[in-house]
Amino acid sequence: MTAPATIAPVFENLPGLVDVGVMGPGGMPLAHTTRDSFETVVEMLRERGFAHLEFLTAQERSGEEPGVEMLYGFTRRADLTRVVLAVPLAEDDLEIETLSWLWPGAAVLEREVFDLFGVAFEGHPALKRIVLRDDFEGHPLRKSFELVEGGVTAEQVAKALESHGVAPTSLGADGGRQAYFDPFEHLAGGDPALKSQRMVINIGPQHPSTHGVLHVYLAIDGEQVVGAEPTQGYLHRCIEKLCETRTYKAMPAMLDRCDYVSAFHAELAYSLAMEELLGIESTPRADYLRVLMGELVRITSHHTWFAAAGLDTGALTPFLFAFIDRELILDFFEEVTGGRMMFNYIRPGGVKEDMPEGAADKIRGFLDTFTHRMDECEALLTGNEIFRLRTRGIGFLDPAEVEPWCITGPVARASGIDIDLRRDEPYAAYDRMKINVPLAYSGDTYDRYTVRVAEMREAGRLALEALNALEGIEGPHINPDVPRVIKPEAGTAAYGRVESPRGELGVLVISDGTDKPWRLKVRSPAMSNLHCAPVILQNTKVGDVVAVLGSVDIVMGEIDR
Amino acid sequence: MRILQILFGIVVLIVIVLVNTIVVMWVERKELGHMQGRLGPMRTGWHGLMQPFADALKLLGKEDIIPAGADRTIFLIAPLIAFTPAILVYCATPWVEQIAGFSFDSGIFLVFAVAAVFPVGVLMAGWSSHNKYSLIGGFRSAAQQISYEVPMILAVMGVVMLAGSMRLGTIVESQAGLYNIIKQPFAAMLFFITLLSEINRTPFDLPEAESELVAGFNTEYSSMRFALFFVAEYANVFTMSLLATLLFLGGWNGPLLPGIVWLLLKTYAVVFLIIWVRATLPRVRVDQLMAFGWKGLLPAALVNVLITAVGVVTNTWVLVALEFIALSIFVWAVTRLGATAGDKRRADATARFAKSREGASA
Repeated sequence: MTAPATIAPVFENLPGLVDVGVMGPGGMPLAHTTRDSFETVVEMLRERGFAHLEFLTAQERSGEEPGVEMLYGFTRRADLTRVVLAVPLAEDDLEIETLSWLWPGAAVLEREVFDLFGVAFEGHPALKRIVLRDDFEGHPLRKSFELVEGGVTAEQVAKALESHGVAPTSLGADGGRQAYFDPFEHLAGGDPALKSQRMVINIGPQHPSTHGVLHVYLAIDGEQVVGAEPTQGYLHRCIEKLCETRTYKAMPAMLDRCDYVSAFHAELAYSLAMEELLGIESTPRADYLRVLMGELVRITSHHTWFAAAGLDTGALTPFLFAFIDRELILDFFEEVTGGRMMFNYIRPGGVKEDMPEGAADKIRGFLDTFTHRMDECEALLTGNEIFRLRTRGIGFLDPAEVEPWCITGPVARASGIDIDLRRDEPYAAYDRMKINVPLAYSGDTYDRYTVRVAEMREAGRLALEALNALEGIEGPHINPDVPRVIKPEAGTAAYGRVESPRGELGVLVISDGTDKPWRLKVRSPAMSNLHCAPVILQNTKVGDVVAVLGSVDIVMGEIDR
Repeated sequence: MRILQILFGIVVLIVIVLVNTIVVMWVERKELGHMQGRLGPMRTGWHGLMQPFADALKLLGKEDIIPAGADRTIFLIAPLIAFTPAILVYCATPWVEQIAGFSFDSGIFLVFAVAAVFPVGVLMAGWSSHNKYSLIGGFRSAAQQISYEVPMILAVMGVVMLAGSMRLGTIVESQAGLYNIIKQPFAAMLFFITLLSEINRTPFDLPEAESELVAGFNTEYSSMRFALFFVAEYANVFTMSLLATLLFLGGWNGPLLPGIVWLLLKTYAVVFLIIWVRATLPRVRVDQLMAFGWKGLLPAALVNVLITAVGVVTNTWVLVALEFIALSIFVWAVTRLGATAGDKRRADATARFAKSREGASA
């Protein structure tokens, strides 16, 4: 297949391009290059405006030659052009230049590829495992990696560790993880006049307010934060690997478990990718049902964050106020989908089933009073003097850092970066709606708070609009043309992306012609947002760390997958 | 005979303190519950009235864990040191005269002297637990209590100047006509703020800030030793509310109803207010707490002493007028401080970021 003509100028005069084609029926341009010219090609693409690194991942090469193929997705924000760059690596030489000097945020993504595929990155600041244990043997996403049937017992684990010369107890309390920066390097500093000494403290993973199992190494000089590094992997459940062992129809249930706070969005991103791959369309009614569910779950997700924002600053009541409202929405989800957290509702071609009798009226009653309910919640925090003291002017994020660190979503919007996929590249029924994107311009903790609160109100309005539109639309809730057994053409791929409450959530599906995906990659917005912690925590005090990190909205399930 | 009377007095005092502590615990749970749109405990007894007893029984049945690295002796006696002053403070209360047959002319003095022992127990607990969260909690507590004790005592100085005595009974009797809260609203405000800090309540509950310090100084404590800290804290809530009642709300003065009813009504009104604050406010940061104590409350308390002196030499109405003016200025200043927090840094950042956004789009 050949790439569309409009994309030709992008690839003009690029040295070392092997061929230019498309990834699949969706028409996403795909260019192959060699390892030698890779660096030049990326730099030139960046100069041509492809400054947003959408995803960085790899897949096992499916052809004759064994090895790994690196996949880089770039976006040009100006005209929303996207390209994918593929670099094949031979089995005996799995090595490629790092991109972390152009995109500091690429460092963690490269660590993930190193961890799961075993690709080494030349010039990487600190290449080590990120989601798996440091002493783990093998790279699970390689097809040569053997899965143990029926799981493993504790004895087998102990035996395996012993055979590797690791006594189970020597792993220590942190399960064998170490900081990838040298914590003691930060100890050298200190104020000579005050004779102060620096100290490294661990926050988490068993700390009541790190939003799950987040672990942060914090280097402090007195009360001042001088260095921070988040570690992850405590909630890694091999979802991407498991997806390769399940059929396409089982995938939404797997992806629900990624971002368990807003499960609809991962389902939707996957369904969009599959619809592109199969060349089918969802029905108009399903489009609006997707918008309704997506916006409602955005509200519940932001409710959870709102509750945490209160608790992080020591206020108890916002937590309960937010959860009362959240329960009412969850009741609606339960009535429609049967689940309160894991919905398994949105699927390729449409949605599982339509709303039952009377459900729409119930949620309409809620949405009609939603503005008032938000006023009540906001009255507890927004104008509160102490809350303002705790959040205003603290934890700045410079908009210049947004692209290098691959930051998206409300965190970017609070720094004045005007991006929102719902408006820029509408999916589902968003092309038929008007979306206001709330922005703030000083990028501190308080701005991230106000942007999210404004988003909740906007989501309530959009949900009501979708509900009204649904009244006038008849028709099936799912496209009847969806095949019983989904087997996309071999060698095709598609990338579906949605605006989740945390940012741009993407699902990359690569098919090998069987009923199971060859590779499924989830682009986690929260992961990139979280790893900007060293930037965002500059010039903060220890007492602020929890409040500032909380304002990034961390969901460890999605970050670790 | 005299010793028997004193012993009897001690037993009665302990019973009074414990009964009220239990009631305060129950009030806190129910009030917080209802303010947050839930019911609070409902299963144990009528509207969960027996909940504190159930809690106590549960704690008694727990294992008393002493961490391996702990400083054993200090770890063991710290809860006692923290708990004792909560009871001892009542020696200065006026009715000790009837019960135990002795009275202190310098009652207020004794109250603050004894109450100052509580942070020592907290510091010991934090130090001996061999846990960094406990240690930071203990240090915070000590620093906080010492900082807020100064403005608190200065705020009470005004009351003492008006009554001309440090004996609590005399102070209450001096309020028979007009309560001190009318005569000295500014002092009452300062006293209430410092009171919240002295008993580690929101928004000054930093020693046990669960989002930063897990549980603060009592992280490593379990079983009855934890219960002692727990009881001491709630006893302190009651004590401080009682003190506020005696100093500013006219104590047992009041029409129709017997004095003891008025006293309890007013005390529980203050307890209600303290819990209400907890349901409403977030927590300040540790450096903001210190700055507010030393740069805000201390000068304000000194101003209050000055105003009271002027009032004593002129007349009550001059005093009331000056106090109201001072109170209004204080409230305005604090509100404005919160409303404009970080404004300058935010404006700087917005200007800087506007430039870098232009750079990014160019």
